[in-house]
Amino acid sequence: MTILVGPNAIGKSNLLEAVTLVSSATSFRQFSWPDVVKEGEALARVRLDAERGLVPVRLGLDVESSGRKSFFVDGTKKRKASDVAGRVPVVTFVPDDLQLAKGSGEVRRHALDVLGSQLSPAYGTLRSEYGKIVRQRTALLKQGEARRDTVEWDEVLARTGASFFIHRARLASRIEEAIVPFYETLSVGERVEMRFETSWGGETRPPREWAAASRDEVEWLMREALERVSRKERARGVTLVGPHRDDLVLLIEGLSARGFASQGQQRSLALAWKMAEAEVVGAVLGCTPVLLLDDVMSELDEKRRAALQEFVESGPQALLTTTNLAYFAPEMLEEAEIVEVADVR
Amino acid sequence: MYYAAPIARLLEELERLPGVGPKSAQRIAYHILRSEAEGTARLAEALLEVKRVIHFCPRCFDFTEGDLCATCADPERDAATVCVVEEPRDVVAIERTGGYRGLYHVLGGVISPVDGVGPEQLRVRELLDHIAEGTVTEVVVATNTTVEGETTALYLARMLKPLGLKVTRIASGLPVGGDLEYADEVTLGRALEARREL
Ligand SMILES: [Zn+2]
Repeated sequence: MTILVGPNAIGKSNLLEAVTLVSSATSFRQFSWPDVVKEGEALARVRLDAERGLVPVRLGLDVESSGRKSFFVDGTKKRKASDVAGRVPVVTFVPDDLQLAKGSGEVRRHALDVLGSQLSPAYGTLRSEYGKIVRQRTALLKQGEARRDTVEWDEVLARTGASFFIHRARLASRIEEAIVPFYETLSVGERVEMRFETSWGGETRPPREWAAASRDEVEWLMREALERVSRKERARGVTLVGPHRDDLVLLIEGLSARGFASQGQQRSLALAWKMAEAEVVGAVLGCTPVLLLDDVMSELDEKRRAALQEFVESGPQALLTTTNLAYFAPEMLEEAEIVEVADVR
Repeated sequence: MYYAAPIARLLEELERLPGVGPKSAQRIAYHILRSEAEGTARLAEALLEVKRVIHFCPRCFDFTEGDLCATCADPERDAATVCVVEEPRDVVAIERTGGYRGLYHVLGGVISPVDGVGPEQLRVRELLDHIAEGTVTEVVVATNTTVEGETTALYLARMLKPLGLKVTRIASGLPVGGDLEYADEVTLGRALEARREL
C-alpha cells in the first residue's frame, strides 16, 4: 500500500491517471488523448512494470501531441487498446464514483464498460464498434432533408448492439451477484437489486434475465424499436434506440436509488460496487486487481472508512492519494509506504 | 527560423505525407542532403513518373499504366466473378494470396456518413455498369471487416441481389475490425475460399 500525500492540485491524481491510461486505455476523468500531452511537448510516455502471479509484465503507452497513441506489451507495439486492457487489471475509486447511485445512466454504463473492456477484448471491441455505428448512423440522420436510407445502419446497429448489450448484461449480472452481500454488510441488512431500463426491450428486467436472452431475440427487439421511432429519429437527428441509451437502475429495498438514496446509502452503494468490481475481476481473470483510490477517504464517514480500509488490505496492492493522513487509521499508516508529493506537474 | 528556406520547404512537403511526423521529415531531408545528386534525381524522377503514367483502369479502377490493367486485360481471368474492394492496395493483398482468378472492382472507399461519404461518392454506378454487360454472375464483397466495410457490403447486397447475382462476403475468419492489409496471405486466402452468401 502506497499513500501519496500532498495538498490539492499538485498532480497526485495525474499519477493514478497515468496508471489507468497505460493499463486500461481510459481514465476516471473526462479526458481527450491530445490533452494527455503537456502543452508544448511532443510526446507523453508511460511505462509500467508489474508482476502478475510471478510473471513480469511491462506495459507502455506513448501519446503524441496530435493524440495518436501506441501501446506496448513487453516491448511489442500493439495497435488496439483491447490488446492491452486487462493485462494489469485495475479498479479505481474516485469521488465521482459517489455518483454511481444518483448520477445519470451514463455513469453506470461507463463503469460497466470500463470494467468489461478490461475483462474481455471482445467486450472492448464491441464497445468501440458500437460507438462508431451510433456516430455514423446519427451523422446520417442529421442529414435531415436528404433523408437517406438508414437500412444498413439499422441492421448493423441491431446486430452489434445486441451482442454488446448481452456482454454488458452478463457483466451487470455478475456485479449484481457480487454487490448484494457487500451492500448488505455495509448497510446492515438492506437489499440492493438491479434492473435494465431500455429504450427497446419493454418493461425493466434484471440483468441475469437479459444475460440469458438469445442474441436473436435482442436483435429483433432492437429492430422493432428502431422502426417504431424512425420518424422521431429523423425529425430530431439522433439515434434513440440502443445500448447507448440504456440505464442500469439500482434499487434499495425496492426503491430507486436514483430517486431515494440517502447520502449514506449513496456512499455505501459506491463502495460496495467497487468491492464487487474487484471480486468480479478476480473471478474472471484469476488475479486480484490493483486498487487506485483518489482522495476518497475524505468522502467517507468513519464506519465506511473502516470498511474501505479492510477492502484495501485484502488486495495485493493499492495506490491511494490524500490531502490529509488523519483520514487513515494509525495501524494502516504503519503498514503503508507514505510518499510526500511535491509539485509533480 | 532554424532551417534555410529550401530545407524548410522540403520539410513542409514531407510532413504532408501520411505517417511522416516532424522527426521523420527531418531524418528524410537530412538523408537527401547527404546523399549523391544522382540518387536524388532518381527519386524525383520516380515521383514524377508515377504521376505522369499511372491512371485508373477504366474498367476496375485499379491503378495501371496501360489502357486496361493487367488483370482486366488478361483473357485467362474468370470474367464471371468480380471482387469488390475498397482501395487499390487491397487488390495487391488479394493477388498475393494467389488463390483468386476473377476480376476486381475498386470502390474508392466505404460508406461513412461522418466523413460525408455515401454510395454516390463511391464507384457503385460503375460497378452496376460493368454488371449490366451480362458476363458477371458472382460478386465477392471484400471490403474490410470494419463497421463501415460491413455496412457497405450490406448496401451492395441490397443493390445487387435483385439483379439475380450471387453476392458473397469474404468469411469472418479475418480479425474483427481489421483491414485486409493486415491479414496474412493464408488467412486472407482462406477467407476468400470460405466466402458465404449475403
Ligand atoms: Zn482493370
